[in-house]
Amino acid sequence: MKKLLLLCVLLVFPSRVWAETWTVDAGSAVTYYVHHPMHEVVGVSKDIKGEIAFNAAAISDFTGVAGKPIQADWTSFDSDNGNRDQNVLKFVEARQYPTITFVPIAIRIESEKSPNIYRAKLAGHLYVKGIKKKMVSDATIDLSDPNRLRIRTRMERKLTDFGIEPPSLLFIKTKDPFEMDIDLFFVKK
Amino acid sequence: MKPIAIFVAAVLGLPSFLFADARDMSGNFSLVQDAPILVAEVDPFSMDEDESTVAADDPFLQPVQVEVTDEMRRYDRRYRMLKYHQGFAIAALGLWAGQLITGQILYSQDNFKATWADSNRTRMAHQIFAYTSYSAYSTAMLLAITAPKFDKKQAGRDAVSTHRALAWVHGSTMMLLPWVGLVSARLNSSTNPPSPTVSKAIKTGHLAAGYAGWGALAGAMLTILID
Repeated sequence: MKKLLLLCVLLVFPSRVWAETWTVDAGSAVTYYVHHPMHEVVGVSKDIKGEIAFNAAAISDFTGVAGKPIQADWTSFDSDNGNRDQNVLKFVEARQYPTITFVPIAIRIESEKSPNIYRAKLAGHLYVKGIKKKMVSDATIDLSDPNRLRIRTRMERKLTDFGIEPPSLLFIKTKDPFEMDIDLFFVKK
Repeated sequence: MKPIAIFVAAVLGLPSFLFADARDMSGNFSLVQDAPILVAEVDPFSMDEDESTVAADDPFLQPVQVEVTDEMRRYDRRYRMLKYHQGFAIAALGLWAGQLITGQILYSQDNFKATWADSNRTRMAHQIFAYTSYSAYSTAMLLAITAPKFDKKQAGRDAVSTHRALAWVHGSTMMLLPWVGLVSARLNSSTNPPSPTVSKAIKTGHLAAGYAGWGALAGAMLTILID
């Protein structure tokens, strides 16, 4: 009987895959970098929403993530130029596709950089202007604060991958490649 | 008791087994909640696009149906007008440069007796540049003034406010330059021309204003370019 009860406990509570839900917290930011021959354009959004299910207790051999979409409204991006921010809405067709969305599909811990800070590989899909593209990037997972998870990564793509014609300023075109820094803080739900 | 215990364990434990080890062939766990499910054969870390999800089932690929509002139309009109404003402003800058070059040549001929250019042709070219640059500039100015405005204000000084501030400099010089040039030409060709000193002062002022205005216009363009 005792063995049966123990079996029930082991079956119901497999700690290895008991993922907790973490919600995006204040301090998170998504930053895009677009390059024009005459200047760099940097736009930041600090209004990020989303959740992931993550098993911080089994971080050392964890290879997974279950995530809801991480989203930022295009109107929340600020590049210190109101005219430019308005133009960005036009280029990404924000009326039809009001958010930039990232859906994580897998994360793989690769090594420990320092205590509670891990190098990882992050895979997911990025949705911009109604186009979905696979993104695989190096990420850093910081569990220095056990109640606050931090995931940082940089993604690189081309504007034309998402059907965005590189905009021009005074008839000089911006460069096609752009980068996106994602710096997310999560707290347990 | 035993069958009941086994039954309870199976019911409670079954979900754990369902989600416990959904690994793909690469040994990576990839379960996505509330998002399109991936086919296990696709390595999530490869850059191969996953074609298993149907676009119609993917909520993030569906456009939002929006009604075009007056503000959207205003913004579209503003965007188009400012694009034309850029084009006419660049044309005005180039034509104004031609005006300056020919004006400098004329000034050198009149005041330093330079003889390396035909005075009549240079004068005609200067007038043509003056009329065309004035037309291009006026068009650019009207487009900027009449383009719909937006209420989003930037705190402090930014490129756009600097751009607008410089407009007062190149705008005022561009409006005055043709009149000063015409007055100067009329006075010098009249039966009672002014003294050489006065004539030279008017021409010097005309040339200096031309350079100052052109510099302000070029600066206004740079503020937008390098912001």
